[in-house]
Amino acid sequence: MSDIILQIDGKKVIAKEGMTVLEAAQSADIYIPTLCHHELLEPYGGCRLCTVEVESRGRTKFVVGCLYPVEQDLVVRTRSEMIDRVRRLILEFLLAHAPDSPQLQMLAKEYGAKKDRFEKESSFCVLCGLCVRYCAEVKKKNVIGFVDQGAKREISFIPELAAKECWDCKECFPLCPTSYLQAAYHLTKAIAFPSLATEPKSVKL
Amino acid sequence: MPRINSATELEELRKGLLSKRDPDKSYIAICSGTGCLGLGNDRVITAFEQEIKRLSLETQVDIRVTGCHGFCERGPNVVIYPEEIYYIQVTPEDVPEIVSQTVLGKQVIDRLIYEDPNTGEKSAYQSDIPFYKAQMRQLISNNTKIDSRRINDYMGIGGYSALSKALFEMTPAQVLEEVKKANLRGRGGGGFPAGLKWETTRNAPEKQKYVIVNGHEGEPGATMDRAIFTGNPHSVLEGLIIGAYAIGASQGFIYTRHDSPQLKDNIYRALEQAREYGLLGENILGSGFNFNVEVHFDVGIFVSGESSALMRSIEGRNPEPRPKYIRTSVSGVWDKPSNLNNVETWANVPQIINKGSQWYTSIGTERSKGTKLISLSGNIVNSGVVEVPFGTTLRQIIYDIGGGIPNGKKLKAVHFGGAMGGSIPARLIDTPLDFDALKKVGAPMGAGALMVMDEDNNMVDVTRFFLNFLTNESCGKCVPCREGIRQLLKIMTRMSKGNGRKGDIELLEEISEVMGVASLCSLGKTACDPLKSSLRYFRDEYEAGISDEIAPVNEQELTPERV
Amino acid sequence: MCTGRVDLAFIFRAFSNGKDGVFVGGCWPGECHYITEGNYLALSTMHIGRKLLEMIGLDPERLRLEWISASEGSRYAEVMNDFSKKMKASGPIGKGEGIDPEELNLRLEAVQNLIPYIKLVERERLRVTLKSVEEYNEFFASDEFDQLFQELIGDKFQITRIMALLRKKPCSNKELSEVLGISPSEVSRHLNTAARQGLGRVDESRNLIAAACDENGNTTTSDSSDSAVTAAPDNDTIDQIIHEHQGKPGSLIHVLMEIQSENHWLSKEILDRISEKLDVPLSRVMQIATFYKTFSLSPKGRHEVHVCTGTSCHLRGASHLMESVQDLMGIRPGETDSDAKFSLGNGNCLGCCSLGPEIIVDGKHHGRVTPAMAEEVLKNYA
Ligand SMILES: Cc1cc2nc3c(=O)[nH]c(=O)nc-3n(C[C@H](O)[C@H](O)[C@H](O)COP(=O)(O)O)c2cc1C
Ligand code: SF4
Ligand code: FES
Repeated sequence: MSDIILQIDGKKVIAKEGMTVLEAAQSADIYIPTLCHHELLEPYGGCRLCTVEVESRGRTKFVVGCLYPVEQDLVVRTRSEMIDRVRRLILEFLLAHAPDSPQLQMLAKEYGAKKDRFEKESSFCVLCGLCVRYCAEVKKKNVIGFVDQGAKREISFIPELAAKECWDCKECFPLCPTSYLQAAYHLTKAIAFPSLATEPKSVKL
Repeated sequence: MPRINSATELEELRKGLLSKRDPDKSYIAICSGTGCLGLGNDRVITAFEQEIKRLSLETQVDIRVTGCHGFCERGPNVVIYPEEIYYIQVTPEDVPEIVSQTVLGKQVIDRLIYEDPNTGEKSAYQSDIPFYKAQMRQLISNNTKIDSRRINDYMGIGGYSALSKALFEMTPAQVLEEVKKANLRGRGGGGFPAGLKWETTRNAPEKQKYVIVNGHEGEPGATMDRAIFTGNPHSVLEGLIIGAYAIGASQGFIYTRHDSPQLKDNIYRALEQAREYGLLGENILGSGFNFNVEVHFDVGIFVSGESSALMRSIEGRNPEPRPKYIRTSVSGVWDKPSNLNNVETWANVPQIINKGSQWYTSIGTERSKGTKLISLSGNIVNSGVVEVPFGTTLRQIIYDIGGGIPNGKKLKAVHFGGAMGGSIPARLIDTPLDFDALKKVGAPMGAGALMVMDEDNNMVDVTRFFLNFLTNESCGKCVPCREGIRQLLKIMTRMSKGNGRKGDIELLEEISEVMGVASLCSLGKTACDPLKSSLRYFRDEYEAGISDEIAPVNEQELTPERV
Repeated sequence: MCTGRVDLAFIFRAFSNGKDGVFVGGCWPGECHYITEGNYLALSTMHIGRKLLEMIGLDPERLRLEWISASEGSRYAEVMNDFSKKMKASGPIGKGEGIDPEELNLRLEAVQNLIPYIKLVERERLRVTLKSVEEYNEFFASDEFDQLFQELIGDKFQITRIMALLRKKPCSNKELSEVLGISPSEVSRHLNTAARQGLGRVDESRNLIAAACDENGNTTTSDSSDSAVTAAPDNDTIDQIIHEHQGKPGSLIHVLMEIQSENHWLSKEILDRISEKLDVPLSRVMQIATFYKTFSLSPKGRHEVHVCTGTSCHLRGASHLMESVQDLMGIRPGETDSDAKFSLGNGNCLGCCSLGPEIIVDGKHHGRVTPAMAEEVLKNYA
C-alpha cells in the first residue's frame, strides 16, 4: 500500500491508504477526542466528538475523524472555534445524562462544557454502543442490543441470554463511560431472573 | 399475454389495441386514490360495476379504476369520457342516475358538478374547473385515462414507446446525454441533477450496479409519489428500465410504503405484467438488455427514506444511515454502485426520451425544468395533488388552483418540504416554484408537500410539531441529532407555554448550528431548517414565548453549585 | 459504623424480616469521622428509603434518621422513646397499612431484588453533593426528584412486580391492574416495555401474559406445565413465510412484515423462531422489530384505532381529536385497553390529507371528525 501524505494541524503526517484521519492523527501523536471509538471495534461515528475540519479539493467541511479516510494532500484541523463549539455542546448534551462520568468530566474541562447547562435526563446511558458492539463483534454473543428509535433508543439485554452468558464475562462493563451498563444488567436480573444462583451474591453484606 | 420480441411487435400490439378500441366509446374513470378511497369510493366502484352488469352494458361502457385525479378535497371523483364530464362527491346512490342520464343519455347532472364557492359558477367539464384549468398536467393527466391495473391501457396511450426508442435507437450514452441535457433534477428533496448522478454510477468501476426507486414518501402531507405510483405504475417502471439501460444496471429495487394495499398491489401487478410482455427480465424486447426488479418496503420510519438508510434496509439490516464518506452512487447496496431516484424523477424519464430534452427544457425556469407535482394541504380550500410547471408562483398555486384559505381566514405562512423544510410568510408568496429560489427564501421544496397555514397558527407550535415528528422518526444513533432535538423540544415546549427563559432563542440557534455541522445524516443536519426559517420570519412569536419573570438561562447556570 | 455505611439492603432486609421500624442514628452533619460526607450519604439513603416505602404502600415514618452524637445520651433516649411510641401507634408492619402479609412480602422482595440497581441509580442520578441538610430536603421534595424517581425506579418496580407475578402464573391485563392497583393504561405501557425487552409471552386466545423465562433465566416454553401459553398463528404458517424468503439476502424485514400483517403482532416465540431459522442474532431481530413503528410486540385489541397526526391534520386540529379519543378509550397511543377491545396507534400520515382530521378504525377512514364526533365513530365498534 502506498503512503499518503497529509497535513494535520500544520504538521506533515505520513499515513497508509485506508487509514482514517483519527488513526493518522494518533500515529503522529496528535490528539482527537473520542467516545464511541474503540480499537477492537468497527468505527461507529455516533458520538461525533471527533469532528474535525478538513480541506479537500478546495472545499472545507466538517467530518468525523474516526471514519473519514485519509487522502493525499488533505488538510486537517483538529481544533477551531467551530470545532470546540461542537464538542462543547455535545459534551453538555451528554453531561445531562452522565455528569459523573470521569471520561466526560475530563473532556468537559478541556472544552469548557458545563455539566448542568441542560436539565438532568433520567437515563444515564450515553448510547455510545460500545457494549452492544463489543458483545457482537468481539465476543460474538449478541446478548445486548439496541431497541427503539430516535430519542427513545435504549440498550437492552436479551434476558435469557444474559442469564447464561454474562455472569462470568462482563468484559464490556469497563468499556462503559458511565455505570449504566452495570445498572442495566442488575435491572434485567432483578426483573427477569432474580434467583439465578450461578453468580456470587452481588449485594455485599 | 404474449411476449413482445421487438420494437415492431410492440408497435403492432399497440396498433392492435387501438384498432379494437372505439375512440368514442364511453368510459367511466373512478378515482381510487388514497383520498377518494378514504371517502368510500370502493363502494362507488362496486355500484358502477353492478349497474353496468345489470344493464348488460359491458361491451359499450368501460370502467376504469384509476389512480388519484388530484382533486381529493371534493372526492369521490368520477369522470365520464369521452365527454370528460367531471362529477364530484359521488355516492353509490348517484350511480344509477349517472349511468342512465350521463353515460347513456349524455346529460349533465347538475347537482354533481363543481360549483365555485365564490362565484357560484358551475363547471361540467374537467378542463373548466379552476382547480384543473390552472395546472399543467404532464405526468398525472394520464391518471384519469388509464386503469392502473391494466398494462394495455398504458400501452394504449403510448406506454413503453420511450423504452423501445431508448433500446433500439439510442446508445446508453445517448440516453444519459439526453437526461443530462434535459437538466432533470431530483424530485425527492435535494434537487440534485439526475444525469450527473446516473453518470457517477455508470462510471463507477464495479460491474454490478443497481438502480432504485425511492417511493418511501415519508414526509407527512406528501402524497404525490403515491398518486403516480398507484395511478400509473408503468410510467415509473418504464423510466427505471430506461435508467438501468443508461447506467448499465441489471438489477433494480423499488422501495415503497407497505401501508397502502392499492400501491402494493399495483406495483406487484405492474411488474408481473411487464415480465409477461418481456419488458422486464432477460433480453428485453429482444434487445439483449437484461433487467430485473425486486420490491422492498418501509415498515414505518421516516429516516429509512434517506439514501444510505434505505439501502441498508434493502440489505435486510436496520435502516440507520451509513456513516461512510463514500457516496451511495459509488458504493450503495452491498457496497455496489447504486443510483437512487425519487418516484417522480423516474416518471419524468419516458417523456424526456420521447419528446426530447429540447421540449423538456422549454418548460420551467432557468435552472428548474419541467413540471412538479405538489401536494396541497393544511388550511386550504382545495387540498389535493396538483401539477404545475416550474416558475408558477406560490400565489397561483394557493389561490388559482387551491382556491385560497377556507373560513374567511387570512393566509399567514406557507411551509414547504415537511420536517426538513421551512416556512415563509404570506408576503413572499410571489416566489416562483424553483429549487433555488425557494431554498434562498428558506422554504426548500423537499418532496413537494405544500402546507398552507392560516392566521390561527402559531409558528412556535408548528415548528415544535415538526421536531416532535423527527424525534420519533430519526434513528437516534448520533448525539447531535438525538440530544439536540430532545433539548430543542424542551425549550420550545416551555416557550409555547410562555415560560421561555431569556437566552433561549440564542440557545436554539446554537443547538441548530451544531446539529447542522455535526450530525451524521441529512435528517439531523436539516432538522433545524423549519426552526431557522421561522426564527428568520417569525422571531416575534418566539420572543413572545419568553417570560420576564423567569431567570435567564445564563444566571441559572451560575446558581446552584453542583460539583 | 458510620451512618453512611448503612445500606438500603440492610434496611429492607430488616423490614423483610418483619421489623416494624428502622432507626438510624449518627453524627451530626459536618462531624463525620470518616469521609466528611458520610452522614449526607445517609441522608440521601434515608430519603430514597422513605420514598421506596411510600412506593410500596408502607408508612415512610417506619424509617427514621436522627443526628445524635455520642455525648447526647438524653437526646438519644428521647428520640428512641418517641420513635417506639410512633411505631406502636402505626401498628405492625403491613397490618397498620392494611396490606395483606403475602402481598407485602412480594413487594418487599421486588424492592430487595432491585437494590443493586437502585444503588447505582442513586449514585449516578440521585446523588446531590449539596452543602446543607435543608438543600437536601429541598431536592428530595422537588418535582425533579419525583420525576427521576418515577422513571428510574417507580416504573421499574412495577415491571419487576409484573414479571414476578407472571412467573407464578399467566395473568390478564385486568388481573395485573387489580393486583397492582394501577390503571390498565399503565399496565399496558409496562407490558409494552416488557415485550420490547423480550420479557413476556402472550396467550392471545386467552388474553393472558406469561413470563418469558423463569427466575433462573431459563426460557419457559409455550407448552410447559400448566401455563399452556400458545402463540396464535401456528408454526406452519410462520415457517412457510420464513421458508419463502429463506436464503434471500435481506429477507429479515420481509419476514417480519408478512408475519406482522398476518398475525397483527410479533410474539416472543415468533421472534425466537425467526432468529433461529434465518440465523440472525435475536438482538438484531429485536432491534429491527422495535425500530419500525408498524411492528407490534404486544397483541392488539380487536379494533385498531389511529388518529392521523400528520402535519395537515395537525393544522386542522388533530391534537384535540387525539385528546378526545384518548379520554374515551382511557389509553394512550401505543396502548391496548383492558378488555382488548381497542388499541390506539401512533397514527402516521396515510396521505388522506383532504379528509383531515381523521380517525381510522381497522383501515376504514372516518374523515373530518371533530373531537365531539369521536364518540359517535367509536360507538359502532364492539
Ligand atoms: C430523512 C430523509 C428522508 C428522506 N425521505 C425521502 C423520501 O421519502 N422520498 C424520496 O424520494 N427521497 C427522500 N429523501 C431523499 C433521498 O435521500 C434521496 O436524496 C432521493 O431519494 C434521491 O432522489 P432524487 O435525486 O430523485 O431526488 C430523504 C432524505 C432524508 C435525509
Ligand atoms: S442525524 Fe439523526 S437520523 Fe441521521 S444518523 Fe444521526 S441520529 Fe440518525
Ligand atoms: S469517536 Fe468518532 S464519532 Fe464517536
